Amino acid sequence: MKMSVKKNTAIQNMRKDVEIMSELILGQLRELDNLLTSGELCMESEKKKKFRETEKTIDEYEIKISDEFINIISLHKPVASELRMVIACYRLSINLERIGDMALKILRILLEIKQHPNIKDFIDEISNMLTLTNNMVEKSILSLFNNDIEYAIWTLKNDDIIDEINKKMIKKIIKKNRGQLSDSQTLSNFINIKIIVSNIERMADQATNIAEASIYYLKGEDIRHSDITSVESELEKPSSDKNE
Amino acid sequence: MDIMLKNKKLAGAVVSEKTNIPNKKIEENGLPGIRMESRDLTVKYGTVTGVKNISLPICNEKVTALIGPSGCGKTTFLRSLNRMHDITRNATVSGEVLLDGRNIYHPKVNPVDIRRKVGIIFQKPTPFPTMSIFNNVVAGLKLVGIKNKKLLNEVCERALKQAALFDEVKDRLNSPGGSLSGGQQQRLSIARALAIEPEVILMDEPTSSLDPQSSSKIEDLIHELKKNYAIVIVTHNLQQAGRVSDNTGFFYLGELVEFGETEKIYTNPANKRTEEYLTGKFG
Repeated sequence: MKMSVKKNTAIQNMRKDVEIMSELILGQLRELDNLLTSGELCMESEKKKKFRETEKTIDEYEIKISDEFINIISLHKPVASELRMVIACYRLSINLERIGDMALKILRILLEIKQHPNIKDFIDEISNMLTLTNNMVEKSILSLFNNDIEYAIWTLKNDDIIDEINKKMIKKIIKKNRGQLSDSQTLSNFINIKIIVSNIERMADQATNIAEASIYYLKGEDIRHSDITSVESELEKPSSDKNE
Repeated sequence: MDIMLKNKKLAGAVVSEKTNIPNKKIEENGLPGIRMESRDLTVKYGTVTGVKNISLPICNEKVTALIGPSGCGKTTFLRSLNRMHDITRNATVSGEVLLDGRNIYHPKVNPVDIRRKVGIIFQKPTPFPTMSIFNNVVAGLKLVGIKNKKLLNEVCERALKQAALFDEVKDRLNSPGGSLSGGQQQRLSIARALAIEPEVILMDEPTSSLDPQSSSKIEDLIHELKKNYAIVIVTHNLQQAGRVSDNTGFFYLGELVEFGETEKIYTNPANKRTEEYLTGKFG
């Protein structure tokens, strides 16, 4: 089998860096999940410091991957599946970086929330929402690296569920807020919860973007802004005679 | 005769006068925009098959790129489009090549007329080295007996302008063609092909012997020429094929493995062998 060694190495290196970046992001999301499920809403200073340092590393990986992307396109001019992999990895890195930013923001706000009985059930729901979003992020990444279209479709379908939870949560916040505007601490908590919920919803959107990038790699189809139910059956078909 | 040639497609006029084949319109093929088309075309050299059962459309105002590893039959196919195999010993052609709906291999068709309608540019520039630039351009016209100086001047200027060479040589049209640089010589060869107003232009690796700047000029020229001609280009430069062509055909072991829009072939080829060739796994 003949192949440009330099081109192959460059693409593999980029892919490896995106995998490392993905691992870092999933680690950050797991930390958030642990924080929420513990119900304590406090974190050791060492862990906080590590969280922030990891966020910086994620930013560095974004720049590194961007450089690798530019070099591969300008020097090696990939085509076909290699081009799609490089494009998908680049799109993945952009979305991962945004997820990293949101995770840090969520952490900061969570640690600002003061414990109060009337936010206890909100925290439980946020925890469930985050768990589902984390699953979406993980499966969307796996769909790309394990060539698994099912995971990508699963992620896209779950985005609607997250949107629904988001709407319900906002309604609930408004309902709970009635008559309590005089309590500034409660109001502050509710605003913070609203920001957290919105950020989780946006993280799910990023997972959706990753799933779309994965589908682009796997099928060569750009399904952005399409309804998944209308393209699902088409996506599940095997790709022409590529498997011959 | 001269006036008619000035206003009509030169070669087209000659062919339709000399042949008596029903002039089927392009649209009758059911595929509007198709200027030329091969149907189950097979070319053999003795017992060796060059290309096998190739069916491929060549569209107006489009560039069709033929790619594939060495020896896959690209050039064999290209040469069959203007009957150049007629002069190849042991070469036999079966199947059809339709130009405007008429089979160019019909016994009543004169291959010389076909070569006027289907011009070819080779890998190496082929100017007549001692002949002047002017005479190089109008050589084809003189060959068919056109002597009107005014018409020859007009055709020469137009062809050189179309080939993006006029500004560089307008002050030395009497200099020998061999005095030009490689890139200029290739554009002179293109001007010579354009002078006889072909309908289809075949290019066999037209930039492989040129430096990047000259190659770039030829690519720009291809982009301009496709507005008026159907162009077929054989190239080993995959990036060039991607840049200049609208449709791409991938040949392998004498067969057309895949044909389609270049954008589709280069981003998501349907066939595994196309994928492997494009990504450098073989070839």
